[in-house]
Amino acid sequence: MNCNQLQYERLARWMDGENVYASGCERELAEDLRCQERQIGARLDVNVPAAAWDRVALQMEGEVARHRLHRFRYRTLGGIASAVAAAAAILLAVTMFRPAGSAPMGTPQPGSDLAVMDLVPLEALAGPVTSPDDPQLEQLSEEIDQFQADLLLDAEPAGPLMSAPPVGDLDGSGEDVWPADPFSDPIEP
Amino acid sequence: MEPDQLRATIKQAQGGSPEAYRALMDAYGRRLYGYFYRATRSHHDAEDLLGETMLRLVRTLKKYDDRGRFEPWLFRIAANLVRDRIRRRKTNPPGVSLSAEDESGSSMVDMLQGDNPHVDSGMRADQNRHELNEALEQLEATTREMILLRHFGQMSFKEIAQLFDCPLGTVLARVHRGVKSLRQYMTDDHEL
Repeated sequence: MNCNQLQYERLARWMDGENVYASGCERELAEDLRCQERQIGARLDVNVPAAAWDRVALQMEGEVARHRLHRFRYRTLGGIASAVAAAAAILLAVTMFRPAGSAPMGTPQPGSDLAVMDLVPLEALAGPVTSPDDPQLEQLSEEIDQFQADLLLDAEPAGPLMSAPPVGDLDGSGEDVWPADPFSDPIEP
Repeated sequence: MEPDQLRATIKQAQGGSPEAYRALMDAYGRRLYGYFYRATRSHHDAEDLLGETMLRLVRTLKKYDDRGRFEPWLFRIAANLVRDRIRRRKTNPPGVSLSAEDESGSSMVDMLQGDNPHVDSGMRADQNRHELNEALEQLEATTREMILLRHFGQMSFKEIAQLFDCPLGTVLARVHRGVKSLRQYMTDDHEL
């Protein structure tokens, strides 16, 4: 049977399993073709030499191992690069997007002692700490004075100087050692 | 290989499993080798091309998406390699090598040493295979490739038409004529 191009196309679709119409004659041709393909195909098969097969398998396994190693390296380097990039991005974000109205570069960083000082208004530091007629402070001052006076009264003598005789007593004892007036008594020849 | 099993194996291979690649080679390697041998008529080239195909499979399987059929995808790679090899061979004809293996896997060196048991027993079978190669040689290159891809790649006419970028009807017409002339050649001259 001689087919035209259109018939061949329809037949090819039919043989591929598509749902197209094929006449009885065309189906007969398709069956003949299939039969011939099977007969030829049975003789086309080739045995693969075992040595060749092993060599190719070895070659492929080497490539798979190389490929896996490459992927492992790529992932490791990728992870490190991602971490560095993330750290750099955070640093950049902190540097560039600080809150509006904050101090320019070179001023104390947030969290430092100097930055805390910024939180206290300077007027509060410059103004008087107490008002002169603050009753609570008056009372506190009196209590402190009283406490100091009590301390002095209760103090125990703590050493030889504190137990020494009064200065007036010392005057008398000095006279025993030294003559009252060395020139008042005439020197007998 | 069943479709579900094939899908799972491909997925494992894409994840880098050596066992999965080995399973794919076991499933398709022999058919690929047969295709390469019939297309190039050389065991040396067939082994070389099979190795190259498996390497390309490892390198490019990541790009394969599960929507299409795996076999046409794989044999498309194989067909491109065959075309390149044939083109290269036309510009650079190979010399005769004593170590080149014949169809049974033995080389001229083995035969000269006299320790090949297949020389006498396999001679008739080799002759038949040689005749088949001769018959294939008579066909036009594209027709021959289409017939080989139909058998080894189990490709549909539509897939072959896409591969060769030609009308569907043309593929069937070429295959029909090619198979007919193969049968004719082998029946008339060499008693298939």
